[in-house]
Amino acid sequence: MENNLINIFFVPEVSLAILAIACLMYGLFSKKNSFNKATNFATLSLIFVSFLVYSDFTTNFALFENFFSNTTFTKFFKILTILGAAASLIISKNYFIDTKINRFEIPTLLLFSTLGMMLMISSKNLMMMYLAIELQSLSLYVVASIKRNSLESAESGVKYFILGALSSGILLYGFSLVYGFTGQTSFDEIYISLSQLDNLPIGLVFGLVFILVGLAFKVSAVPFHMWTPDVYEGAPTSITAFFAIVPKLAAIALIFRFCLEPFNDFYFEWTQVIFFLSLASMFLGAIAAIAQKSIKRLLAYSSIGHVGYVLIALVAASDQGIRSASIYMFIYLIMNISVFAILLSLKKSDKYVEQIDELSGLSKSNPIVSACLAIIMLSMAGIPPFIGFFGKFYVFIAAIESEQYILAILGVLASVISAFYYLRIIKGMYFDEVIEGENFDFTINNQAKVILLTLLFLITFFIIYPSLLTGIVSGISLN
Amino acid sequence: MTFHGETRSDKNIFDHAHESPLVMTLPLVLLAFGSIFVGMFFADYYIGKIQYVFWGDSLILHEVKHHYLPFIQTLIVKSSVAIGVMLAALIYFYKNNLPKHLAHNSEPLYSISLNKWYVDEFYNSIFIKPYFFLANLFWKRGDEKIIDEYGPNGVSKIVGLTSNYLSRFQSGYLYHYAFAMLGGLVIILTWFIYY
Amino acid sequence: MTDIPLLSLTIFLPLLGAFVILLIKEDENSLNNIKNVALWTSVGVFLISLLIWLQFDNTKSGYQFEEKFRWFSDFNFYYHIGIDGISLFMVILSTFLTPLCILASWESIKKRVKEYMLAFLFLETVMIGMFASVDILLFYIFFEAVLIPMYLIIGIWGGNRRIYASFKFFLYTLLGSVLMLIAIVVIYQLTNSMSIEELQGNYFNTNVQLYLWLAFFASFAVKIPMWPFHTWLPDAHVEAPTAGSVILAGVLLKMGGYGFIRFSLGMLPEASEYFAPMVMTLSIIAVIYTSLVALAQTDIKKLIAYSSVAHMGLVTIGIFVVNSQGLEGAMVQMISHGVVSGALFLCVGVIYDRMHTRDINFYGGLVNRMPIYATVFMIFMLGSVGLPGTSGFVGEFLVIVGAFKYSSIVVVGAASGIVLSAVYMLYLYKRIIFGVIENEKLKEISDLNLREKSILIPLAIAVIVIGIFPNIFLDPMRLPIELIISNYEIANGK
Repeated sequence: MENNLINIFFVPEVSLAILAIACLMYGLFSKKNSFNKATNFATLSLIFVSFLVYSDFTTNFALFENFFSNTTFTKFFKILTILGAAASLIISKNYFIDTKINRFEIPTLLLFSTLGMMLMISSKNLMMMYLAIELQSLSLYVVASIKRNSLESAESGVKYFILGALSSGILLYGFSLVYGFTGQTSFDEIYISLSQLDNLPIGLVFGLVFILVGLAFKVSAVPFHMWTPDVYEGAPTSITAFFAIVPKLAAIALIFRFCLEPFNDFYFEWTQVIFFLSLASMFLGAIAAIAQKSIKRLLAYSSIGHVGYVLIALVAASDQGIRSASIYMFIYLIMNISVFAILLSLKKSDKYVEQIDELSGLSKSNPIVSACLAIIMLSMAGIPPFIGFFGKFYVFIAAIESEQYILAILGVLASVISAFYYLRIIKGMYFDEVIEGENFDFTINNQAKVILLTLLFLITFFIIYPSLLTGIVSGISLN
Repeated sequence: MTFHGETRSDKNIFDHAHESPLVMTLPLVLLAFGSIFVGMFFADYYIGKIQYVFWGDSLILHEVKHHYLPFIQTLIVKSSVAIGVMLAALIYFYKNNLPKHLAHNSEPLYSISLNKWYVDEFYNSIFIKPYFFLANLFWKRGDEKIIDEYGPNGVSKIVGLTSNYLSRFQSGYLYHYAFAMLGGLVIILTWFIYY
Repeated sequence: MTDIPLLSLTIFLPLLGAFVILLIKEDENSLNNIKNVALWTSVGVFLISLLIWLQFDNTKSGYQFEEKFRWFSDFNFYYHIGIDGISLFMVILSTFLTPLCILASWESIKKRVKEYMLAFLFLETVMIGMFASVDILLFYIFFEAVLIPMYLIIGIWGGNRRIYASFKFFLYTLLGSVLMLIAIVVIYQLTNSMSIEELQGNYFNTNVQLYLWLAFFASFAVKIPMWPFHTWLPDAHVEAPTAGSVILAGVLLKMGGYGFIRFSLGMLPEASEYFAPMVMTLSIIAVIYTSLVALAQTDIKKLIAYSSVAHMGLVTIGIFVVNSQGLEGAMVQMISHGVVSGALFLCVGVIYDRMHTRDINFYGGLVNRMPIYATVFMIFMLGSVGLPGTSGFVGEFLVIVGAFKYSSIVVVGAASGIVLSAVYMLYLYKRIIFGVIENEKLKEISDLNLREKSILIPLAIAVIVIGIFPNIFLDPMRLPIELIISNYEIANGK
């Protein structure tokens, strides 16, 4: 190609890397309002990069094809990730300023983390995978503890870091086992060398298990989820929003690709692991959330539950499974963005609302906000006619297509259990008596309002014209 | 008892008692007239010679000679009526303390007929009381204690207890979490060794 | 006239009314506007549904007023709605009861009137949509969506234990329904079709049918409710506001019966024959057990709630004998029970609005002060008992005749249940209405006002009309029922 150099800049990852460094510089060298400027720059650059991903300029340079995969699946997830990161920046801008953690490092680090996530999603090589995971995680470790005068924030950062380091170690050990037994680090090559085997030797199985455990940590599947409630609760809410919305997308995409590309022939082995992870996640996410009183912890367990459902689609190990997972992650994305958009703008007596019982009386003072929150809760519980139902429905279609009846039945039972705590939030807002003297304060900036209303419109009225989403998703595949 | 003899009611009420107005008396007169003489004039239409005219095709009629009644039978009927009238006059009109003595002497018979053969009480104890007992039993013990306890309430209690139990695993200690992670890893590996 | 999509209009007009209400700001002056918009919207929907009935063709057995649009691009799900004889009266029942409910809540709902009316109109949309859907996924979505407004109605405007009752109702029903969801996905997987119309008859092999039947049973048995899955009903009915109880008893319970006819009989005939003895046993136990329990109640609403379970027991008997008398009896019993139970709850609401208690021991001798009330109450009470001339008799008689063809033991059980229902109903009536007023607080109680009369008198007329002219209602449903029966008999090799 001529103009090869210019073409490089249009590779989304490269341009994001450059833009992230530029953001750092911009933030560093601006005298006042560094946070605002950096955030705006970061948001715009993310939107720009998403266009790049969508328009799919190709270029070949330096073993590009060996390290990166560019399929409809990766494109879809990359766009979701980038837009999710942009949205979480927009909705949390006010929160950062209000709680005085408006440091320009935050958007920069989030940009780097997003870069790591994009590399994760499209990595085709074990080394690439590890680099990407580390890039993503290290930025997040710092950001989790960004609120320097808060003990909980520091605690969450340290916990995330140490447990993350542990999981990275396990991951790396798995990589070494896989490399040892196949002599390859590239997914394609691993697939080729595995296709010559009839049975996975136990060493390879161990390697596979170690890698899956490392990935399960990232995705917060049970029992590798222990960091999630504490980190979600301790970190400042805007960071929790980012955690809940974006890294899960990337990790799910990666785990899907890792299981379905190199180890495609041996799905019998890894489906057992994923079966166990999925079942445990759904049930723990449903049951343990009932005892929670903090909204952020509840959302942590709820996201663990959702991950359980997506993993059902992975156990299905079919094309339908991939499509169902894509739809589910899209729905998960918009539900979480909406929920956090509301949480990040809701204050009661000048303090941000963090406990469930602080929500009582919201329906009287802010009927629109409580209606929005009620719709989101019902959607998360999977009650028709809202969009959350369709996520679960597609996952169950994939499961039953692959005859995973037990998983499907247990899945629906878990969703009934989880419906309880979602309903309890609605009960708190609508049914409880109001304590006089405390008023709610819902301040939201205009862009966040636009995002919230658009997403709520989508959640409520998806049912009328679902082909918008399903049409896009039906073209997704791993090739 | 009602029309003859001394009045047993309150003097005030008795003084106010009066003959019924024409509206009531006239129909009563007509009915009385009819109840005495109807049999004489219309018996033939029902059971006599002209019954076919009345009944037409609505019943199956047999030609049976039943005009002849033995004289003894008619005598028995008429004498029982007469004896009944005389006994009633005797007991309730002439010898006023006879009813009391009779009631006192034939106590069980008297109570049984006074209390309508105790039918109501019998029904009460055989049907109504057990019925209510069963109803309450099904409600309190059946519905509330058994169906609800093992059904919805029981299940929600179990879920709540499990939830509390599980949240204790989230102890907050880092090494507990690390241990749980490594424990999970070891369990999965062990599974694969044996399968 | 035939170009206007009447059925979709019926389904979505309440939603339009809800949207209008959404725009009205709630303050003291606008309350009447809100209530009027809700009332006249629902009356309009009722009139349109009557129009559908008038244009209904009794001589066709398939779906009429059909509308079908492509809904999902990648799967075979359609927006497919239609009415046949079986769903026609369910829709009319829903549209008939909703304006009465709104009228009944005119004075008794004082806080958050706007949200109440919104919930009711949304509920109406979803109820009608459920009965009118021919696509199974659409049916499921509407079936589940009913839970949301009902949950809010019980939980916000209900009685003292409303939180317990609303959660119990929601989660219990949800548990059954999600199992039905799995069955629906399996059906789609096996036949690639989601149309009730196409799937009538025998499509599945017997083993699969058994599991599918059980999954559908889980959902409908909780909804109807059958013994022993009935314990949510007394709590939900007692704690719900009057209009909520009326709609719950009047329409929501019928969803289970309708589901049994369409799905269990229509699509899974062999499994229905296999499980019919079990259903019969549970129904007879339901009829006798709940009639007994009803007698021991001290709360009027709970008594009527238990009587609902008993009546629906008769419905399930009628459905699973699968002959024309049984099914027609079950359908009429559903319609009759909708009217009668709805009316009974409205009557309770009348005296509850005045005295704010539902304790039977509090009341007595109401006939002395409220003769008109006593009369209409008597009509409904006798309708519940099944006196000939009322709608209850038609349903019960047909069910018993149908059951007699199936098994005489079932007849003994069902008929004894009818006798028992007379016991508790007459006893209730005597305790509340007859006698002398002993309670001081009742001495000033007033008879029905114009609003209450306009609610109860149409219901009383309906009870008597259905009882005397049942053919108006039986004619449209004859053909679809015969179709179901013939499919059933072919499948079971009779």
